[in-house]
Amino acid sequence: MKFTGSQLVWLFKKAAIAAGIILIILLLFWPVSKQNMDGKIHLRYWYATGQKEEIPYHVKLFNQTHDSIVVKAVPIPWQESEKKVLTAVLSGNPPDIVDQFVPVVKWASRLALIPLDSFIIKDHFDTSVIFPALLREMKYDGRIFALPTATVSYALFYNKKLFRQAGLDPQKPPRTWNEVKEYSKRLLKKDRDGHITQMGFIFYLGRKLTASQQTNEPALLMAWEKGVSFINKRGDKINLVNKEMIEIIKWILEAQKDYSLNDLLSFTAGFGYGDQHAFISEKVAMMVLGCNFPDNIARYAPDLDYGVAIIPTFEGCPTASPSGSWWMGIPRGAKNAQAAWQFIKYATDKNVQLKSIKAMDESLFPANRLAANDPSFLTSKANKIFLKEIEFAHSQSIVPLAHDVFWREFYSALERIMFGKQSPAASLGQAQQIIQQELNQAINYDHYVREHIHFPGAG
Amino acid sequence: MKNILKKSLNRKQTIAGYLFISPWLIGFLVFGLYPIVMSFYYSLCHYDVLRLPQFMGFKNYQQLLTADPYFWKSIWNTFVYTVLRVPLCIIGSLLLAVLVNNTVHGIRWFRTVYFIPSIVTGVVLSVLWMWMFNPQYGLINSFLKIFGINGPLWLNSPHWSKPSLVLMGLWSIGGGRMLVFLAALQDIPKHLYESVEIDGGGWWQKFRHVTLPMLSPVIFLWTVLEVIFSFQVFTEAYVMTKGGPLDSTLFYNLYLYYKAFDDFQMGYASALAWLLLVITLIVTIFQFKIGQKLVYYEGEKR
Repeated sequence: MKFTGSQLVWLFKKAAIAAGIILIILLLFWPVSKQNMDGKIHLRYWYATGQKEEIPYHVKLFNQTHDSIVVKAVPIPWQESEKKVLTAVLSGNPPDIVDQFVPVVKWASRLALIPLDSFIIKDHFDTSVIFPALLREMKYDGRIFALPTATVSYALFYNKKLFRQAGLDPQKPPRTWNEVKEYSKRLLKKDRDGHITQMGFIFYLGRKLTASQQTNEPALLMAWEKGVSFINKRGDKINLVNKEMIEIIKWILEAQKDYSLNDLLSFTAGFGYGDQHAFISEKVAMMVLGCNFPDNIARYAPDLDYGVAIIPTFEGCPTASPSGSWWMGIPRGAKNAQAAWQFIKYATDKNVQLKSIKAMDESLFPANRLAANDPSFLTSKANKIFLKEIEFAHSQSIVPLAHDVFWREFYSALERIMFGKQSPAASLGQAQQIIQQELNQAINYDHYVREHIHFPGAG
Repeated sequence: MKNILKKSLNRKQTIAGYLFISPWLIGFLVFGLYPIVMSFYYSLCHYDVLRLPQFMGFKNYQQLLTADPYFWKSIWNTFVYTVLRVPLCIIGSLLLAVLVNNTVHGIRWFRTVYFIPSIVTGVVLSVLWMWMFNPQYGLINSFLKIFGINGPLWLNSPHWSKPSLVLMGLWSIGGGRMLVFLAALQDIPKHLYESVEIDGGGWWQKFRHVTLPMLSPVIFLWTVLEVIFSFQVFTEAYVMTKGGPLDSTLFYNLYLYYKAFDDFQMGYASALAWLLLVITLIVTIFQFKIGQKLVYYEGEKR
């Protein structure tokens, strides 16, 4: 087929019209920022959420009480939230505020957040109202990159009915790990074939396949209470192989001797979500669980007779629990940092926290100490225990520059030990070597980045 | 004069042609070629997406091949998975196709029934099979218990985890693959079977000397495809096992995912992706070399 000149002209005209129409349609749907149209500052607030898409209570409160700033809340499914926000940061059009649960240092170390120190100093914001353990997690390289809003505090949950059945005093939860071991011997039940049907406490090593077993690794809690630090002060040397860790692991292996590994795996593989949770289905009598776990108990087993106690320790050691909070920060490239800070400051206020914690459908703990200590919040005995545990919380961001590698290797090392593939020293040594290698590369890259680019406020 | 006009018209036509394919062309350049080229560049860098790439030469590749135990572990896992899965899938689908190729009353119903499972895929399937594999309450072990067999731990055992995932893959043997086999079976001329009958051959001779040779191009095609699919196994391991226990289901793509989206090591992950391309290419060329000897194409002279 050949075109004559006039046909070509006709074709180009048609093409031009088509292009024009496409352009108009594009313009019509182009996201226009409505800022300044009503003279107000519009803040974009992205929050990671599980099921509900309801606007967070502190956003409603803020919008009711502030005339010049409007906060628009956008829910993001939490599995996707990290990738979505980071992509937005990369594209140069991030939200003004992010509300997240992932480790702050992972973002701060990659310059995805701007430090809040200048705002804090200018406004004379008193950071001591935040639990020190939670604030520590917000810091990287000596600066504060976010403020925590709510947190999960952990404690030992124990089943009073199973205690009674085993002849134990339901008013006396174990205080030490050795007591937990003794209690567990009495709480252990097997069927005729020798399969486990009930356990006291699960001394497991390594990452778990089935969800919602114990949330926390006993080896990790024990390491914290013994004061083990897995990295040196300068943050460039990993220390996984140490006397304390090896003692702890040997102690746990000893505690596992009442059953075979196969029995343990088979028993733990039966757990699941909801009413199949090991504690709710009354298969395990003692577990370290979060302050939001009673929500599940109320939903699936409202008659469960349980108590909450301080997480046990080795004799003479202070208790230790993991921390992990929801936090708010300002992404790099945010358009309205000053107004965003106003909102963050507002959301960490005592009265706002008390109101929004109550409005949540999940029982979380306020990150503001004054709110947590308020009599209107400290109504139950359990909350007093959770309050104490927060004071002893340890950050799970142990190696900021190689966060995920650290945890993958840590759990893999423990798993190899439990399966008897390697001795504790060899297995931890292998993990230490890999983490160290990753850390060295990350530090090298970090230096390179600092030499070549300078982000405002990145120092 | 006429020639010049013709030439300029030709040029105009060329331009018009390019204009017409420009939507695709732009799409390909921006969303296809550019990412491919950049991913190769990043594979030579240390890059965490959020900051800038640091050029390292072939250091990523060197580290992968010489200093990364997980690289070899993931290759081994993927290799074992492929070797177990591909033959079972092909043979399974082939036998099923032969079965539903029979002209029995109600065969359409059977074909539909065998096809139905393959509609469910991805994460839903993985979650479903987690329940099937549950060592205590799972359907499989409960069934085995009837015969007095104590079922294995399936996904919870480092020895059984890979076979478990292979077994799960058989779920869809009645899917698209079976349909293609079925279509190919119905294409086989009847007279070929009749000549076997005249020669006094039974069902085995028919299958061995008519069905198999006539199906060989389709079998070959699916073998090549399934090997590539198996190299890319990801969802099952990501949802069900997270690579465990003892890294026994740490497949190549899962490791790549961890490197890219957990550790933000895009450079390293890009290097992994390029190595997978090279491996897939080599294996496929190798398959074609073998295929030339085994595959019979109709009308082809030997």
